[in-house]
Amino acid sequence: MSALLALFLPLAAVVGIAIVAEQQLVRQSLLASFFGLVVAAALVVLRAPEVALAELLVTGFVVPALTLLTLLRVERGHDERAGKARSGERE
Amino acid sequence: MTAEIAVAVLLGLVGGAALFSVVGLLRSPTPLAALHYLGPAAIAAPPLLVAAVVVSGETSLAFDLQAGLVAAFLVVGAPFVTQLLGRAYYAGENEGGESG
Repeated sequence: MSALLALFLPLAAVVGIAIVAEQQLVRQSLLASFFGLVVAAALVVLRAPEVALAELLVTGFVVPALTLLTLLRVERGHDERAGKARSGERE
Repeated sequence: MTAEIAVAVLLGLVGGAALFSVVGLLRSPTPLAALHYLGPAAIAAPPLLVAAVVVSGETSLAFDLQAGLVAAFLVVGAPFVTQLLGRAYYAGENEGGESG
């Protein structure tokens, strides 16, 4: 089991570094959900299945979904502001 | 001992799926191409992880059922998140408000 932990902890570190290095928000969000998956697997190895399940659900579904919904709303708000600015220039 | 080996194999597969998805995502040229690499981590990994929890035998039957439901929810919900991802990317690329 410690061998599995030796696999998952460096993998979590690699994915964490990839999240920080990535510039695009959509990809960052995806990588964050993969990070949660790796941490959940490490938690199973550490004999904490309840925490692993919560981690899997929250970082695998809730966090990416909310982040992407936020991104969508921000983009739409940005588009609406840009549209208003354009119509203001015409007037 | 057999259960430990099974758990190790299942968790190894989870790690492999996550690694494959991360590498594919980082190497894909566009975010829309990257969506194809969501499959292993989003569809295969949660049931494998839950199977590892169940096979380990450290949890009650009620918890195992709960874990199964969580895995089913994640597998069913993954296509919706993928759709949302595509829309978020499309909204960012096309600033004409055609994303809805």
